[in-house]
Amino acid sequence: MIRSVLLSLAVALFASTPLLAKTGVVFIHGKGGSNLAQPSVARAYWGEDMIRATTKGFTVPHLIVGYDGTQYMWVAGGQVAGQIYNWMTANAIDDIVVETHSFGGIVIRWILSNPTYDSRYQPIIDRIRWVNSIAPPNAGSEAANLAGTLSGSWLTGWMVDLVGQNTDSTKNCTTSSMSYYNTYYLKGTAGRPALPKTVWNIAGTGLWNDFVHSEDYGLATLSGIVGMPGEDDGMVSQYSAQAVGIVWFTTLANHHHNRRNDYRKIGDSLATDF
Amino acid sequence: MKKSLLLLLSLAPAALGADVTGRFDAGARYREPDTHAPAQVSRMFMRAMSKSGSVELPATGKGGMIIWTIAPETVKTRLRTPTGATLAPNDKGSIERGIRRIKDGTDQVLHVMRTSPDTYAVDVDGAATIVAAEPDSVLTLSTWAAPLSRQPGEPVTLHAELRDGETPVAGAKVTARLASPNGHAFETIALEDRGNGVYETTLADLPAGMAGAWQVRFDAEGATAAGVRFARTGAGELVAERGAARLGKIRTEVVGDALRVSVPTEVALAGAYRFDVIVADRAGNSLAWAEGARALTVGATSLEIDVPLASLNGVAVEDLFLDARLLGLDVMGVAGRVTSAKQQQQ
Repeated sequence: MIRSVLLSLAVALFASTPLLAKTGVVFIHGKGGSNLAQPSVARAYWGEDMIRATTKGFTVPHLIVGYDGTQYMWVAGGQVAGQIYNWMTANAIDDIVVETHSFGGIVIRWILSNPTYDSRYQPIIDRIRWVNSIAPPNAGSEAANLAGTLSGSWLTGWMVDLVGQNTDSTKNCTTSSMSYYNTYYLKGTAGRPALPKTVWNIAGTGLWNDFVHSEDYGLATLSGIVGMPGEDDGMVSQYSAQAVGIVWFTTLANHHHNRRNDYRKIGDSLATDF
Repeated sequence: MKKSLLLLLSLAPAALGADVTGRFDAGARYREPDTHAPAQVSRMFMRAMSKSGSVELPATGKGGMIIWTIAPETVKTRLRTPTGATLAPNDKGSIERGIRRIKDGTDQVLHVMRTSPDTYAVDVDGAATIVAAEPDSVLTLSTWAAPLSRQPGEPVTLHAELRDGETPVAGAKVTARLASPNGHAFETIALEDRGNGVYETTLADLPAGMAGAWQVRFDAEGATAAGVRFARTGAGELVAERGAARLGKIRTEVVGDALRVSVPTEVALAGAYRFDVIVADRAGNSLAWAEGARALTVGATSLEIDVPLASLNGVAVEDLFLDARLLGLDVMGVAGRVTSAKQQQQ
């Protein structure tokens, strides 16, 4: 309801200044390998149907950001900001809706929280309408904690691919690290200054989405091993995803599926912004 | 000096960006930084095998057990239960048998659907790490390390708490191992039983003077009051700060339509920093904040930032509480923190 009202206001505002307003959508993926800096890999992260659905058949100008998925949020933030800045400037985009998945939600929080860190941040912040943050580990991820505990083990294989190597981005996402960053560097959590733009969070609360993907087995197993409190999507707990922003909705799609438009039509929901 | 300043500017191109201020939402409460991260709660344990062999898996008998083996190459795993039933290599098991092999390969997952309070075992024909979890168990190990932001010279506390439901677990063997930011693991440290299920130790210093995130692995073994054996592995983390600066007493003065907050600071490490100030009233209501990037060189300086008086809800200056922080930007970390209440360096 609140969101509908805000959307109406946004539409009215931009409709009243047609010559100035040009809306676009930016997708920011989560952590992973360094190859996520490649456009094709970043695009595949979301899946073509998610991009198609969100952009209403590719009619809304869009940018699929790619960045090295192994880096800390401030390194990723620089790569992300560079792409957004160039894209919005070249295309005169001045109303940006940001869609993030997982660690992507932390990267955009870094940008929103630190406007003086990089000269490109504030112009980007100024043009953001709001952020739709899917399964962000705002209070950290118990799965990332496990990666640290397993450090030194043979971190290869099926489920470890889900846990993530003990990279900088995984270290960034431990519950302890996020507690530290939420206390000192990031805004939006209880007791901290508010973020300059609204974040709508979408938490995943399902595990067994289908029996075709090995990721589903992995996420369900991972959830049991790491002992996530409350509901979770196999990688991020609901409490963590909802630690920042306003709850838009929850989804039964697990962490593998909630960045896609398959098990639940999340892209269709995101498209209602346009 | 000029070169240093030039370098600083190149490292942080936006370091001279304008200061930013804002108000807190109405009703926002001031929060002191947590002394430690939220406790990590574990219902699992880990064992490392450098060669073929067997690992005992004590089960608490409340729910199922997931056994995950991680190996550099595919190994054969055999699960043995207290009843004598086995899940042989290549045996998928079944729901009816209560034991299943969910996944094969270099990392395998076995599942005991309902354990008895007894010892299971898994045989592995090669090197592997074994992770055994009891997701439904009420036997938990909660762990943390403090302080979360640790300045040089501050003691380090390693804390663990064992509970069997609401009942504290006494007499367990609990150890911790610190790993430095570069991944080097140090000697195992025994934690003392402090009673009421709490096991703790305080270290005068870290084993190495390396700044960054230190990870702690906790291992616990013991038996419940009912004599049921258990094992648990937990984790914790703290940030060893660099000792980049020392902040003195906060001073305030009204300059025009702003409250000017200044803090005399001794900078030990040059670099790009962010100076943050949070303003609250004495009742603990957060009112306003201000932040600005600063390029600092080694030596004494005064950090200053202005907070608009209009954002202070008319609270008299003498009734304000201030929390000032200096944060690293080219190397992340808390350089220093001081509050008007304590007027002491954190």
